[in-house]
Amino acid sequence: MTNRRTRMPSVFKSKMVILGLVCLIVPVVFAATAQFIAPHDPNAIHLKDRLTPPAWSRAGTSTYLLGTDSLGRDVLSRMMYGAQISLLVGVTVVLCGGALGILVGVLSGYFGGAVDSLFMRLADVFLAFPFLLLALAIMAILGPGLWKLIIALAITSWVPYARVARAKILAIKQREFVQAARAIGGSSWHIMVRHMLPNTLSSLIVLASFRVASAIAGEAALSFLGLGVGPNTPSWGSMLSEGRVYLTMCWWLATLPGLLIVLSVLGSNLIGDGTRDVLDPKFRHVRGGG
Amino acid sequence: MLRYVVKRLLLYIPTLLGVLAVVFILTHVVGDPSVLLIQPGASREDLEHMREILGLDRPIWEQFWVFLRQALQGDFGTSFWSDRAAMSIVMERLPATAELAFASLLVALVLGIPAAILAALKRNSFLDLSISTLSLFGISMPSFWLGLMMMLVFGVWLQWLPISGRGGFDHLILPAVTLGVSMMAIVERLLRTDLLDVLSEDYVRTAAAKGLTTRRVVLKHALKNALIPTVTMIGMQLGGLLGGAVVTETVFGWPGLGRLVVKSIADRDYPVVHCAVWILAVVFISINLVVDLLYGILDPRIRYD
Repeated sequence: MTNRRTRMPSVFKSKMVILGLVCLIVPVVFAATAQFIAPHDPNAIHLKDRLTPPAWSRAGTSTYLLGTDSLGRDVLSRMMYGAQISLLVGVTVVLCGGALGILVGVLSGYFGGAVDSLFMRLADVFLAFPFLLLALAIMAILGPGLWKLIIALAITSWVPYARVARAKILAIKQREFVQAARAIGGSSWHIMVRHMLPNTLSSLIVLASFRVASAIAGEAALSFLGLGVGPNTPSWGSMLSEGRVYLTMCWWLATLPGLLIVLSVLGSNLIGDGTRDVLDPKFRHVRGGG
Repeated sequence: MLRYVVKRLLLYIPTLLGVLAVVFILTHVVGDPSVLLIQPGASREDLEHMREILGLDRPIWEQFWVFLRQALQGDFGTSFWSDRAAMSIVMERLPATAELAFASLLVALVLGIPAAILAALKRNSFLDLSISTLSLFGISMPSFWLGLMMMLVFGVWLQWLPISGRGGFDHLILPAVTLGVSMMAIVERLLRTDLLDVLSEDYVRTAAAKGLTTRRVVLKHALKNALIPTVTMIGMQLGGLLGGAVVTETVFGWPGLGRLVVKSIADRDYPVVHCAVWILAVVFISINLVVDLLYGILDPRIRYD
């Protein structure tokens, strides 16, 4: 415990973590302040100004700094509100999927036997599906919507946490401090939560920072395929999907929101890389998704 | 070896049954296809009749039993939209996806392995830094955005390559690179790290001390051992590749399984969705079995019992 606490701050000395945080500045500022700094209502339609290019092109105007889409909606404002969706999805999916996976992994590792077999066979079934395919199938049932999207992504992302938590629990199950806790009459729940879980956290934190990237990319992909947050919520993925239709004439529609996705995913991956190097140098085979 | 293969195959049976159960649960809760198939304004009797034809009026467990029995024989029923067997529609699309996946894997390996070797040999040089930075971008770029950007640059602005459909070799380039880039980056990052580990091992130093050329030391001694984790990772990532194919095929209008799945979900064409998801999962699981077996060839220390 103490060891972990003293090591935590050094994460912020890692160059990669700092660089990752820098990448996230724009998306985070957009998400936090969209309501105040967005120049237009993200859903306000200005048909007269449809497909206006960004301000720096010849036909552009300073009213719409990054241009407008096919309905004349302001691209910059939509990108700002889209940041809220992306980051919310990224963080919530990791929290929900992580909680589910850790619960399964800890129970599986602690109790072993039939519980372990059942959970691990279930994990095999989930791993047999390409991640995006399963999320897509779930979204097809639930229909578009922010919370539905979060549920779909969380359900499809618990397995890695479960595997890591289980492996760590198995590794420390026979250690003296666990046996001591059991000897003095600690309940299973108490031992799992107070003594074992804290020892699995460093690996799980590393995994989680990579998974933020996967969740952000997953949201964008599902929204791109039309099974994401729904038509009236601005999302980077759905902006790209709309921009695809006008790719030949209006390059900015697909390019600019994509840059924000890259920046957010890159930032999360960098933070993942940096935290791994500091917290868990041996655990280098974990990768984020893009 | 044979015992090991049989054991692994037996272990896959519960997984495959689980996959079928998940597919059934997922797709049978999706709306009601009979509503989509009858004319608007049709009577309630027509609807009931359609449900009867499709077998949707029977209890869910009975539907599952029928589904399971037929699925294990490769019979997923007839598409709701085209009167053709779901399996034949899916199989017709499989070669296009296989072609795309294979080409992108080739892109990943042909570019990823040499990049990793260069980066590891010139550790901490400008070259290493550039390759690592590019890899990080490769992992972080969503394939659909990369695909759109390449369409914009090579298809629309430079007009070098076609941006949609399947045809000659030139049609394959953009989708294969799009899908292959993230895998290439993963291969490069992992292999570089493992090469660095291996290069400091005694046997590599011995090989170098014997006076072997760097090329021989790296290719013959170091690379073979460093490749083991990479092969595992490639097996695991192939699922991502198949999932990524869903998006990439949609971007490039590539007539493969991924695009079929997206379209069939939109059309609520259960039999085709069932069948496509099942085939993708079977392909994925089989690839992982092959990867398991490949270890033995790469690393004779692994025993199969």
